[in-house]
Amino acid sequence: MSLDDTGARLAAQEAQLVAQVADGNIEQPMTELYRRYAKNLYRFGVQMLGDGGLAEEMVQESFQRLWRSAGRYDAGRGSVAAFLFVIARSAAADIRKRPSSRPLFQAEDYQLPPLPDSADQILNTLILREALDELSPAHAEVLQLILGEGLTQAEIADRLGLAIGTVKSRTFNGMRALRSALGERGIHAA
Amino acid sequence: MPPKGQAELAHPQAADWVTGTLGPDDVVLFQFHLKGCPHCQAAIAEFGQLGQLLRQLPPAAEPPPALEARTIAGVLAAAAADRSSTRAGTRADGMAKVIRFPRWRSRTGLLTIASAVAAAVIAVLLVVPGLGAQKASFAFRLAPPRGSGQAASAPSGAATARQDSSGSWNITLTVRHLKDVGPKRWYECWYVSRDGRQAVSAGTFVIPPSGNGTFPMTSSADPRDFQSMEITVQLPGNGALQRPIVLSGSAKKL
Repeated sequence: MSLDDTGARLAAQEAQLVAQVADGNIEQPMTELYRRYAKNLYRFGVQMLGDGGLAEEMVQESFQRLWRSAGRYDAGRGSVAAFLFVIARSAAADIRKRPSSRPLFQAEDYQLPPLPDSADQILNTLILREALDELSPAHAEVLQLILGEGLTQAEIADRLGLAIGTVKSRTFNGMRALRSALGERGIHAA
Repeated sequence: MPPKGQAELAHPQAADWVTGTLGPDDVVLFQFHLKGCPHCQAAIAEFGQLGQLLRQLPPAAEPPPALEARTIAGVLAAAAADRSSTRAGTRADGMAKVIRFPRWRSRTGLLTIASAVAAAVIAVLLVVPGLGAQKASFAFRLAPPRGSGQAASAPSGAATARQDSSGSWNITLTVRHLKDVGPKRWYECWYVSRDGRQAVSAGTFVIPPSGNGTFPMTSSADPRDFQSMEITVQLPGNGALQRPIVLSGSAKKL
């Protein structure tokens, strides 16, 4: 079976789960959708709102809104993932606007990141995070130091006791592996 | 795209450039170097777009395990409340037709008055936009837990929860004499079930130096499913309700 077939089957399965929710059979399909998307929704919430508690609130609110709008989902207009992240983006925007949500961090302590432009952009970054989790330990270690701590190639070489050329090779090969993993998920970063 | 393999010969700073870790001073020097270096140009051509995507990565945070149960319980509670309010509406309509109409038919004066009142209510609903959309309202009188003192300066509060046409609940919470809990903590308003085993956040707020404030919040949680409201002081953590409870009170229908 090709990757396209697998993707189409998954999309049909998820559309069926949303249809079951719309029909009032809520618990089992909603739990299945939660298990598929909660991690990425939560990460999105942390990114958008800068706080784990508010991200939890956003996840809860997103699934409540999914239940309320399940009857309006049209599989012909997009995937369940895109539908859910449009809902989540709206929930995050509402939570950000709520006066009681804003003062959790002083402005000088923490700058909220800008909201992404589209659900596709959100999905791409979340899928990228998933792909990163699947890299080999050597590649993941180097990329984690770059992305998590902002270290330069020279600083990583110093930290890990490696030649700087080795760090560079691991960085580039790690990025190639990532690009390949993204391609398998239908995202093509040149 | 430059021939494959050229990127391997690039300067290490090309990797810093594409991943966004190159310092501002080095950026200037590297840009100068880049103009004359086909290997670095090849690295940037190959990895520039992916590097841009990497810089927008969300954090590698994991949702707390308890969030699944709370989320699903919240959806099921909202669905149950939706069903029960639909059933209540049907029953009330039926009673009006079966029981009241024969009595009114025998009392023409009462029927005339009732018709006039109904017409007036409909007129008000048409004239005041949104009023007809209000579905239900509840009030909470909030007081400190027993044994924590009832001095004049003791914390107190009140809240109303009104359902709008979209099904969401608009909460207006007013509190008095709450302590400043500092910049890294905040107050949180919760709905809590009668047995205390289920809690859903209705919103968070930070109290100004006066200790007093009014906070509008919106929640999809239905107060009928939870019966009481509690105000807690929260620390960053897993998002669960934390002790102590500062204020609490039961729901009363308005």
